[in-house]
Amino acid sequence: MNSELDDVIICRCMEIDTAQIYEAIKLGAKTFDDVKRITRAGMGMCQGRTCQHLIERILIQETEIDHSELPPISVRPPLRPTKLGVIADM
Amino acid sequence: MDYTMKETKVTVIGGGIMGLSSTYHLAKEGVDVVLVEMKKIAAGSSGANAGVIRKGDSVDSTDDIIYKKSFEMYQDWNRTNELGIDIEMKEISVLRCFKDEHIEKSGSGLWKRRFDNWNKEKLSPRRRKEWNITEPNLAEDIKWGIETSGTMINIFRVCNGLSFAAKKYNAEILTNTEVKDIDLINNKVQKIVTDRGEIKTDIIVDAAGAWAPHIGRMVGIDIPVLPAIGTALVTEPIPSFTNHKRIIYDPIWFNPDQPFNNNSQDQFQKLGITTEIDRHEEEGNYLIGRSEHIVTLPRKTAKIPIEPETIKRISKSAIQVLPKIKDIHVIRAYAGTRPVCEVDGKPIVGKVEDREGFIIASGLWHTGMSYGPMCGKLVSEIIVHDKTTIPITKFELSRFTDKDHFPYVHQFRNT
Repeated sequence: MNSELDDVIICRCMEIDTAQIYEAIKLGAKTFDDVKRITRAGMGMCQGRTCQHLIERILIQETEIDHSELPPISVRPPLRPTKLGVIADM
Repeated sequence: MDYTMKETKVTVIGGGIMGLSSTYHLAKEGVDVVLVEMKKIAAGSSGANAGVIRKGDSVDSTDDIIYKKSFEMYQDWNRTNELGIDIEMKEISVLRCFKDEHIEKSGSGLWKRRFDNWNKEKLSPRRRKEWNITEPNLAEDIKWGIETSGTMINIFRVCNGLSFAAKKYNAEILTNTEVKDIDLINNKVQKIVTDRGEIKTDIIVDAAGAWAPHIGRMVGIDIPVLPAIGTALVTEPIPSFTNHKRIIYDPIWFNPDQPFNNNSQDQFQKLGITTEIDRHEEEGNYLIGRSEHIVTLPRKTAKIPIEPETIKRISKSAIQVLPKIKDIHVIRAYAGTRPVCEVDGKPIVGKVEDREGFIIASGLWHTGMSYGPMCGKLVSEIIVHDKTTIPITKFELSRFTDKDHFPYVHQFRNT
């Protein structure tokens, strides 16, 4: 854990910094989805496309988890941001 | 963390609000307790709801007391650091809106009951021009509204917080662990068999939500609970264009028979579409709900299906209420399964006749987050004191006496 990096933004969409990711791990988060559910990282416009790998790297560094043990993240429709009016006219 | 054999006083099945709350209260009382969850904490409907806590539509005083006690617990958890995490509790402004035709029909059926309830709280619909705070972006044909308030909590933080706090009081939480079977001897609970080993236990709390009947079948009882799928959409972050944090428009409640009917020809009624538009200030987005679709699903469902027809109807309905919302992007859709009691829609909480050590805590339907904190305490009281501070015999499984309508399964399993 490096305090100099604490205020580095990891999830740009939801403005979640490194310190908040560390806090979630301290509370017991072991996967990207765990971190997401505690901090909201990965729940913004890009749905984790940017921060997933950064958060997984922190998880591997901070816990004893191996990269191969990390489960795939939950992907939900629509896969791209879609206007409500477009969905209504499907 | 693999194991083959464990021993504990109580095993709670289900890592949603009911299971977590029961485990937390039991552990706090010093009871030896293990929670077993098939997936992860709040993976079901406790992690897929709007996070709005409220009194139910029932006029029942027991419901009121359970809600009030739960609300007080949330206030305590919000004020203190009991859960080790901020649950983000806050009061929100709510607007329920109606069209002329609904006001005309308000004297009969289900709708009359709801209006009577609101009248008791001195809430009656007022014309749009009379509202203190207007919603200029609402559709023009929505001319009536009731302004009220509600309370919102962060559901993931509540559930994870209860898990942290339970562990603090020495409870054990086993996620990714599926219950395969339950052994009884002379109708008394002996042990639970999971895919990761066995747990010798005196008492089982079936808090498996919509899957509670699957656990019930393992001890030879029928629990009349079905999964009611609820779906919601999340929008991109955008500046707020509504004044109320929650806008509700639910015309399907005007149906004289029942609000939703899975056999209806009308797609909105069939899928149980009501519009609830929630503004989430922290995320800067809107949450748009919702559906209510009763289904039969195999227990081992990797994911609750998100049906294109459902999200289409939710979108259409929301645009009819708030036309401007049509140009806003949806970034995510999600679904959960509310556990609904198919007989009377009431919770099923309490002991079961002829099954010593088996307690049910399910059927919370729309009130899981609202009643969960107190219902978990009631479960703990049953186990620790063998009596509850609020009488809840009417929530017990034994209330279903009509054997024709609801046949109990009379199969006794002895091992």
